[in-house]
Amino acid sequence: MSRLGSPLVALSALLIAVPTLAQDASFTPVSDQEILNPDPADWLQWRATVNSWGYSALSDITAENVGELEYVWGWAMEPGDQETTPIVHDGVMYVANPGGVVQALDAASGDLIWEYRRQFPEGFREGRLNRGISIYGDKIYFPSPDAVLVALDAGTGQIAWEAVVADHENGKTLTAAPLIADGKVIVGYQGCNRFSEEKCAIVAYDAENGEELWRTITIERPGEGEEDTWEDIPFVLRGGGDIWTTASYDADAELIYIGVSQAKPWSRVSRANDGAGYYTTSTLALNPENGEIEWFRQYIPGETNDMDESFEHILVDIDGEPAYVNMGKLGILWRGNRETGEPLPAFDFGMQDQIDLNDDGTFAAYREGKIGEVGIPMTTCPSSTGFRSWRAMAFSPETRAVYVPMTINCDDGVVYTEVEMVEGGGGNGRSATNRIFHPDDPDNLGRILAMDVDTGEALWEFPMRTPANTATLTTAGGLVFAGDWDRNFYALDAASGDVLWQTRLPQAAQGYPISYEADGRQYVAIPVGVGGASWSTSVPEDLTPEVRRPAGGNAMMVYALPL
Amino acid sequence: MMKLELTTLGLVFAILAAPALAQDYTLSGGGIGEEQIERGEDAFMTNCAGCHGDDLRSVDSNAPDLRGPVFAAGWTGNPLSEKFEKIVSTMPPGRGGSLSDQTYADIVAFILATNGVPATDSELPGDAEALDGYTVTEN
Repeated sequence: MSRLGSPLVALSALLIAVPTLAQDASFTPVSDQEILNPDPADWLQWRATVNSWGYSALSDITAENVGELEYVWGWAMEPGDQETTPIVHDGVMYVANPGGVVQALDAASGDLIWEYRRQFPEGFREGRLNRGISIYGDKIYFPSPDAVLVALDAGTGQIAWEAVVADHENGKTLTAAPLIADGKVIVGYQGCNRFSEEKCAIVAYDAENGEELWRTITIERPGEGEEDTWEDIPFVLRGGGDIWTTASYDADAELIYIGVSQAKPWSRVSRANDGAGYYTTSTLALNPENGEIEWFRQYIPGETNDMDESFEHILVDIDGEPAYVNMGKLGILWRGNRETGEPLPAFDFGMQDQIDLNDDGTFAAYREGKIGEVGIPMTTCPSSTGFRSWRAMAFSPETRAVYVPMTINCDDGVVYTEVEMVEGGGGNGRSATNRIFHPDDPDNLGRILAMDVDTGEALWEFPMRTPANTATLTTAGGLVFAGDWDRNFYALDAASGDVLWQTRLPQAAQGYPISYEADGRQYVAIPVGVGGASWSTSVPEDLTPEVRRPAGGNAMMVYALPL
Repeated sequence: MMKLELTTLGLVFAILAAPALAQDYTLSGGGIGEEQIERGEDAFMTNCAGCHGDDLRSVDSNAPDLRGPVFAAGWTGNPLSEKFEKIVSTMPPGRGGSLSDQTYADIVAFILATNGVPATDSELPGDAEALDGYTVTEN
């Protein structure tokens, strides 16, 4: 009996051990407390923390030793549009590849732990992008390009639940990492460039079981406000209001903050109305409990040049008051009270030529000739690429500066047209574009700007021949990491902008760099790759043709100090 | 005042919607062929539809429509060689020039056909110089 029993016991042990062999033995579920105050070794959210600073409190890598950084491991990634953000918990890196592939990798060695491959419907375009994933409890939350939120078991990669967020056949897609807040998974979606009854929205799910808890659309309905800000055009013809960044969260204020993008078509003449168009080009402050809009702030009423003005919201106190800052395509640092939405004075970086501001930080007026007319070429700085876009800026509490990755260029031949004002019509309404160097910077397309959030002063500016092509990463070691289209990856001194270290990557730095710690060693990870918005390739190819890069090659590259 | 605005708005919709219903263009200088249009459709669906849409209505916020008012504004009146050269040199993004010149011409033929340019016995050449003499005009 005992002889028979031993093999059985051993067999049982083996069966039980299989799943645990496939995951990191030290995995512990991520608690609410960790979401609000994570271990600096981890990078749990899109921008590390719910205040979206993009800041790592790790300080082993410093201005003094960063010059010794060396390549540790890499991981080739699936082809497609690369704009990813890895996250790290308990020494495991989780990363979404283009095209619906998610992997768990040993964050110290790069060994594969598990892989999830999404099966898309037949004919679904391959290689579509993802900007990040989230972790909470024992699950990874993957916003899939087919507009389905997928919860995966963090230990095995097995599907825990799926929720259809929107209709991918109607052009809807998820690109931004979900926010974890108040025990919920909160995600927005995009794909509202065609006229449709289905509007873009922010949606909250029960993290445990995927039950939809609330849904807040980004477009004002007829009759919703005292005055119809869409000038009474039918609901179906109100386009835009896409969500493609991740919300921030203030647990004390019990609010989440998310950016709603511009109206579509882009120009007032194409939209056939001059209305403000709520809630496009706005910050929404939502109650995470029920999704109600507690306050909102529209930056440019009736925005007309594709100037998306509301990306990530960095939550930082200013003059002792709870505040936020954000910067959109125009390079204006918008600031406001995060409890009330009350504006604070804004800081114009100074290269946009489209709008004027009031002293209180609000929109004053469009400048002469900056509201398009059908068929007439016009000049705008920036072009529709924006001086900045998906590449998020980071904040450093040591310098109180934001570090802005910029694309400097203008458009001297943008032409807007009418569009088909029917369901399924719409689009961007642009028939021509001609990107040029900015007249004030005829040699460079890229720049890292360090801007003081209290004064708006530029601490320093670091010019680059090609566009800044990553988010920035700040660290407690006094460093800023960023990369460009020309395959350079830099460590800059956060206070001075001096280049302290740089390396040449196999492909353009493209994505959101992070820093984390595994087995007591600090690492810096940088995604590299291609694709994304068409202009991210076409602008440098057209204007800096001497810069050549390989056609493909998505990957994750990881650096650390020598052991 | 409100009634007037609504009426005016209705009129605007009617005017804007009209081109979508009857979109006919003439190609001068040469023609597009039936088989070429089919080849162009295959190439378009493989290389272009991901951003410009299966029905030439863009599905990417940065890609222009290739039909309707945007086509009328962007494709008519000028030598077709200008559009051809732009497409050859820049499309698909990051892979400009990666298709053969004839395939680019086939794709252009498919775009023209979808917008109502009738097929003929001849084919659009994959040659920018030759296309200098081709122009699309709205009927």
